[in-house]
Amino acid sequence: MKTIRVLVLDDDKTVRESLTAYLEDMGYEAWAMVDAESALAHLARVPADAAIVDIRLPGMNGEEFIRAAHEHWPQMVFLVYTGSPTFQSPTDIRGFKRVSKQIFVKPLSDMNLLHLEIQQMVKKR
Amino acid sequence: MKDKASEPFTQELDEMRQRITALETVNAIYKQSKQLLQTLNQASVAMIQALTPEEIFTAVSEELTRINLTCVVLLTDEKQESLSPKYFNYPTKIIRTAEKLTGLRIEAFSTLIEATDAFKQVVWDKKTIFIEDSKDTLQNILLKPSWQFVNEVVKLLNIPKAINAPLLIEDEVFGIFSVQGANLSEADVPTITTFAHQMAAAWHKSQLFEQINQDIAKRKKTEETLHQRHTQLQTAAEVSHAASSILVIDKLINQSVTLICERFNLYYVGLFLIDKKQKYAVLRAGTGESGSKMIAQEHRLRVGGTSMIGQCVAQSEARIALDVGEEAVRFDNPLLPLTRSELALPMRSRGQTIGALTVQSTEMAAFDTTHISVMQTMADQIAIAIDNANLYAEVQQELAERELAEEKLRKSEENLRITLNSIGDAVIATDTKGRVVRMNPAAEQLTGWTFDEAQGKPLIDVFHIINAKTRKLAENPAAKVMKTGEIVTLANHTTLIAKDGTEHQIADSGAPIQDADDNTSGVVLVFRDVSAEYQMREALRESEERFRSIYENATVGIYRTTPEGKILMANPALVKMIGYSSFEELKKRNLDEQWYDPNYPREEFKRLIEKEGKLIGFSSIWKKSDGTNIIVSESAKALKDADGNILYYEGIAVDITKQKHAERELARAKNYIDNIINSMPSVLIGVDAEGNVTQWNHQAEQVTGLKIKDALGQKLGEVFPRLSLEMEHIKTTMRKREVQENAKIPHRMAGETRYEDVTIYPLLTNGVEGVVIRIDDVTEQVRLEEMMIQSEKMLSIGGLAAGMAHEINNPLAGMMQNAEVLRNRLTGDIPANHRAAEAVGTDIATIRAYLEARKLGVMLDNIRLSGSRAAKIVQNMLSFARKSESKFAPHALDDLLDRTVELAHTDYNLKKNYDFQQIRIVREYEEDLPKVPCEETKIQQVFLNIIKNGAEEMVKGTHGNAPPQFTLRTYKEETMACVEIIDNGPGMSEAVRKRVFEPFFTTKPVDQGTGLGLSVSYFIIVEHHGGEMSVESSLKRGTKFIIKLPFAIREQI
Repeated sequence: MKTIRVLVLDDDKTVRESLTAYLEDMGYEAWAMVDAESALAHLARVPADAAIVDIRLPGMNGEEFIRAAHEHWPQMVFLVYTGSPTFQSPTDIRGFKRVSKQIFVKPLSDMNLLHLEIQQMVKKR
Repeated sequence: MKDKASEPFTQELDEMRQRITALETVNAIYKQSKQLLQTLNQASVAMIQALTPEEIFTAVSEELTRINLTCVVLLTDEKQESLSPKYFNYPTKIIRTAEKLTGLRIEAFSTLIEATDAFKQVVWDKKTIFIEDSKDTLQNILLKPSWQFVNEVVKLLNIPKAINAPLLIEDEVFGIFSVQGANLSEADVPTITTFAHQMAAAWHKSQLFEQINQDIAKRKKTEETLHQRHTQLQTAAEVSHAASSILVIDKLINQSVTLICERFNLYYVGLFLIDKKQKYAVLRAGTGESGSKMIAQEHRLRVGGTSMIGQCVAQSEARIALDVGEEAVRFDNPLLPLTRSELALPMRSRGQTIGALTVQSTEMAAFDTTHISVMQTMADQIAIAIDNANLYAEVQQELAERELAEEKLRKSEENLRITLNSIGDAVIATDTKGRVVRMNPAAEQLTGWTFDEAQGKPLIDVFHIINAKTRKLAENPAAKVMKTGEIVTLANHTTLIAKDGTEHQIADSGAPIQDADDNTSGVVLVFRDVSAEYQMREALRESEERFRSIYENATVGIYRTTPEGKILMANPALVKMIGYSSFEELKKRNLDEQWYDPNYPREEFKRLIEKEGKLIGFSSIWKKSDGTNIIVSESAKALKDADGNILYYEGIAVDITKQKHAERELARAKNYIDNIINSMPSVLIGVDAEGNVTQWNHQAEQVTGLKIKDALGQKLGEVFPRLSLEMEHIKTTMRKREVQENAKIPHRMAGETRYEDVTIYPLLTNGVEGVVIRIDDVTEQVRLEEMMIQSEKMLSIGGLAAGMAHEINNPLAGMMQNAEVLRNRLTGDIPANHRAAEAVGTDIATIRAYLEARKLGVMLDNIRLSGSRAAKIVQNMLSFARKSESKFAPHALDDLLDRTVELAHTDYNLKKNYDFQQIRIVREYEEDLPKVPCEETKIQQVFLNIIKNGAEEMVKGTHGNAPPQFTLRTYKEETMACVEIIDNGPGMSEAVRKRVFEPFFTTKPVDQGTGLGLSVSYFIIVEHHGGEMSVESSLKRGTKFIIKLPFAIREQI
């Protein structure tokens, strides 16, 4: 089976690094990006299968990233992993089937949930 | 059949017939005349023997009747003006009938001669006339109304024709002789005329005869009278004799009447004497049985009354009744029924009528003037005799009286002297000239003069008096008495100066000595030494004045009444109090009837006063004269006589109406204030300057358990221990006169902390020292405040949290994620792990073992747990954030409940130790409960929280060890939908229950739960939804959570 490539987009270092380490441990090819612009640029060179997206980002926020990325890479799936428990996806994004219906709220006590969701969504592609 | 040829013959025949008729008529007339003549002749003969006019007429009329003629004799009056039919021979029956028809009585009939020609000619012209038709005559005689009957009368009386002839005596006409009948003619006139003459002659003769008889009778009478007079005079003389010799009146009068009666042959004689009052004539002597009877009856007649005696005495004139039947003024005496004539004679002596004599005869007109004069003389003589007898008797009596009087006088004189000498008062008597004629020893002593010295001297020498105050000479009392003729009392302040100059205060009076004729013969002076008395009297008077002044001027009522209620005395104040203007008016009211209100306890009053003899401050309601009521307070005493009987009540009365009203007002005000104070939910305690309790309201009783009667007067610290700490404040308050407030002072009570506001108010009015302490339990407020503060805090925390959540979650995520990776890389079966382990000369198993040995895995897990908890807290914090945009939608509560239960089923926690499957769920959902606008997830969160708590509790044990069970109930209240979640767990204590919604309040151990769950739920329900949330619970009884959500969304601030 082809290795699933996951992008971790989060501006928090510890989150970013630990999440990336986990994903690697779980057998994904994972890399982390600090902001949405860099992420998009990188994706242009190296596309990903999934992205774990934080909403609060320095420049462009997570939702906009998802929109933009989805435009270019419609096959990509997105998981929202945010620190704001009150976050609700904007209506349009909510409609995307490529975006996970589940909003993951930091902190996750078990990152396995992410793994399971990625698997599910990629399988559905 | 007559024819002209036989006419002359017929004529002759007629003439002849006429002549024959005439002859026959003449013949008849002749016959008649002859008859008449014959009759009259016979009548003449009869007349000769007649002696009286009646006899004459009878004789004539008899004869005439035989030949069918009636006759009437009418006589003229003296003046020859009228005629009256005196004799007539009409049958009586016919007369009566005629009378009925004409309305005239023949006996009383008289007619004016002038009126009738038939009579005029006869009487005045002395002619005999023939009346062809009597009708006219009759008509003239009769009255007009009877004229209709004229014919009938004529027929009745049979008087169609008449001849009226004059009757003459000595050429004077004294009447008419009228012959009437049918068979009369002119030719009879001479015959009748002649006969009339004869008749007149006979008439005259009879008259003369009568005259002679009368003369003879008269003469006889005169003889008799003379004889009588003789007798009378004799009697009179005898009476006089008797009268003059008898001095005893009774004997005198009895003899007199007897004598008179016998001698004059009288029926009765009575003698009346006038009584002393001159009102009645009293019968004193009377003849016969009647007389005795009447005297026994004390017969009397009123002077001037309707009796002969009465009038006689009154008028002092004789009265005579010749026919007692006719006498108007007469007393008809039943004892003297036979009296026909009476004489009443006044008895006069010395110009006075002293009585009367009554002389009665059985014959009428028994007394003539001679009788009267003789009897009058006798009466007068009797009168004089009576008078004399009286006089004699008087004189005798006078003599006797005089002797008696003299004796009396002598005795009285003796008595007087003894009396005078014995009495204590001094007596001096003077003559009309003011000279001393008598003195008693007391007078001698006071004046210093002996009687011998004083006798004959002027009074003023002996009786030297001056005015006590002015020291001037006082008026001579004797002179004054003599002048006025009346009793004189000397002025109060008289001083007598004795012969030796000693002074005595005296009281005295002088009176005139009057003899039998009411002439003043001197003066008697009575006096005594009153020096002591005078002083005493003065003192008394002054004292009396003082007391009277008090009595009159007192402003309280003073009274004296009888036990029955009669007012004896009432001072002006009392009179005024009851609304009268004078004592007289007041007196009319009797206490028991009108004074008091029917409710007045008069009996009570009497009872009390009789028991003690007095009473004080007895209050009752009195009625004023105008009907209004006043309240009066009385104090009275009962005054008793020697036997202990109550004579009267004396007391004072004060109108306390105003006072009572004021008292009542005061009481009412006090009650009102007390009510207010006791109704206050605050504890109100009044304390005086010394710290003693003066006021203690109902709430104070409740809080301390001490009743007011036990608290009053006690020291504050003793009845309210925790306030003893406030004493300092109290003193400060009193000193500074400022309100002191101490809020939220905590104290422990029944295992919990309660808070009080203690306020101390100084009493500022009327110089009263002290304070009022007000204590309000503000525990609830404090809690509420705290809750509100908490809420606020939470809200702000929520706000913060909202801002911070993201900031905290990231580091937490970083932490936890690293811990997880660590776990994985240390113990996980990952190719990279193996490679790395190999590279360092070990293997995962060894590492794993090492981790195990040092329990590092657990620690890594703990990091993750702690992080989770922190994240949970943050999340919960966010719940306190203010309500964001309304995400309300109508939901059915029972639906939400059911879904929550499902959640609870599927929700599992590694740490949990209950199995939700085992819990029974009982559903009591109201049908058709309307949907409620709410935030679905949040409500579910609330329900879940409650159910989880409940489930955890029920693990500890259930009520009665029954299987654990939830009862889920929904029902409708007016504006709210209600949900009840009931468990049968061990329940909560009250202390816990009260605090269950407090943030961070938890009964769980520290590492379990945050204590936020219920406070968040509370917040959600109350703040976000505007609903209500409460809990009921008791230990061992389970817990019931009640959530109410409004049907209508209300904006929350």
